[in-house]
Amino acid sequence: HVRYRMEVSCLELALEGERLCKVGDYRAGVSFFEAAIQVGTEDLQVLSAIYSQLGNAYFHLHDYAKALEFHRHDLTLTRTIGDLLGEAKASGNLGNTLKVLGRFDEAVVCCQRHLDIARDINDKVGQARALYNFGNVYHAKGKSICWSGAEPGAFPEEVMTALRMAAEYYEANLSIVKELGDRAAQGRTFGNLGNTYYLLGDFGKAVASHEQRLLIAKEFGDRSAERRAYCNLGNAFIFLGEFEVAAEHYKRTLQLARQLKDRAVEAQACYSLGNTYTLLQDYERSIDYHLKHLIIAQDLNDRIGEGRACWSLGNAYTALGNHDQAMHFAEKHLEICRETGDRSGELTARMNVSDLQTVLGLSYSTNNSTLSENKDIDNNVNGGRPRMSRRHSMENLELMKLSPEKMNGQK
Amino acid sequence: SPMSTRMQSLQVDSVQRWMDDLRHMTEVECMCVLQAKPIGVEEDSQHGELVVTAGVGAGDHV
Repeated sequence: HVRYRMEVSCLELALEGERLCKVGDYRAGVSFFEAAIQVGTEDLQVLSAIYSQLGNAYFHLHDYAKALEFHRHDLTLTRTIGDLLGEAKASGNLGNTLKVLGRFDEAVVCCQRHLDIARDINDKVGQARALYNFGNVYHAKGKSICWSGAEPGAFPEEVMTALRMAAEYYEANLSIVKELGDRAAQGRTFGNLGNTYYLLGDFGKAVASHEQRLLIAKEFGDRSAERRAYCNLGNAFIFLGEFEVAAEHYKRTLQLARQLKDRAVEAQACYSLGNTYTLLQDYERSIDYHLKHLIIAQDLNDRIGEGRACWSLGNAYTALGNHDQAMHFAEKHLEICRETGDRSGELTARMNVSDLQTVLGLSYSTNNSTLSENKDIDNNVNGGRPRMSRRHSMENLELMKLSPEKMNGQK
Repeated sequence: SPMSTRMQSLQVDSVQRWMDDLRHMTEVECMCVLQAKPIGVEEDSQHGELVVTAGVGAGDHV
């Protein structure tokens, strides 16, 4: 009867840990689970559940090394006792943890094991989950390389391969969750699939997926998901060269961001709208949205966002021929770039200030500290005046890339 | 005039920078689905599925 009392005690501790995790107190939950393990149990199913929940709790606490440790214990245990369903779950959880740790190749092995077991025992829900996890691992792999790979525009082949794999697994998942009639799961997959196609540069397919995601978000009254879909749609339409349609989607993003009281997203939507109206050459509207972005950036103490807003505003006012306002924002842009240590931004801002000074008919002998420094930097960094040629070659490229006709042609 | 061409390019470079960022930007769904093994006997209805938004790489907007 001594052992009986110990069993109860371990189970009680574990149940309390489970209850605490359910209400979101993972820190306390972890203590109870660890105490339960200290006490020990001979019920290996309970022990497996404790390892698994402990792994998940550590995952929530972002302690991925610990999460890895306990999901590994769970996997070993389930294999030992021949619990296939338990092994499938443990493999899935371990795969997710390895993915977050950037260990994608090992994560793939786990996903495959999860999928194999689900197929063996003809568990459709399990198969769908494994395929979704698989997609996520490849998606994360692709993204992690393209974040570190700097160069905008063309992604390395390795990224494209990973993203294509992600799309394949998401499509496979989709056919099962459609069969199962699981709309919530379909919504998630459409969203991820849309993002994958977007990163692959297949903007038409991205739009089709995100439109499905939007539809399902509306069915569920899930406004955050709706907001994400509108934003993703707006972005895709930009690269399809359909700027008016993009603007409409960004406006819905903005409305929802306001309803959801998400200031950072509201700022991002204003910034996107400002840029979209610049593409549409509607500079008044562009200025309106860039000013809204500026105000929020200032509120949020986002100096980098503020710098972007000033840069954009300077350019929009220049386009309207309002050189005084343009100068005001160009100088502010310069000031912020200096403060944030943004060297390339600083150079751009200097060029803009100096161009505007020329337009405004100010002479270089004006007693202005910005000016004298300006010349020094230009001479030092660019060694004389090569910036004219650099900018001329760049501007041709940029204007070409941005022409809407060209972009429509790519559809 | 050359100056007006330069002024035109001015308006474009901040947009170009935005588009370069935009090309990488996605609003992601939950990227981690963990599965729970319930200890308590109650509600095993949802297979104890537990949906978790990714802690890493989630904050996708600039």
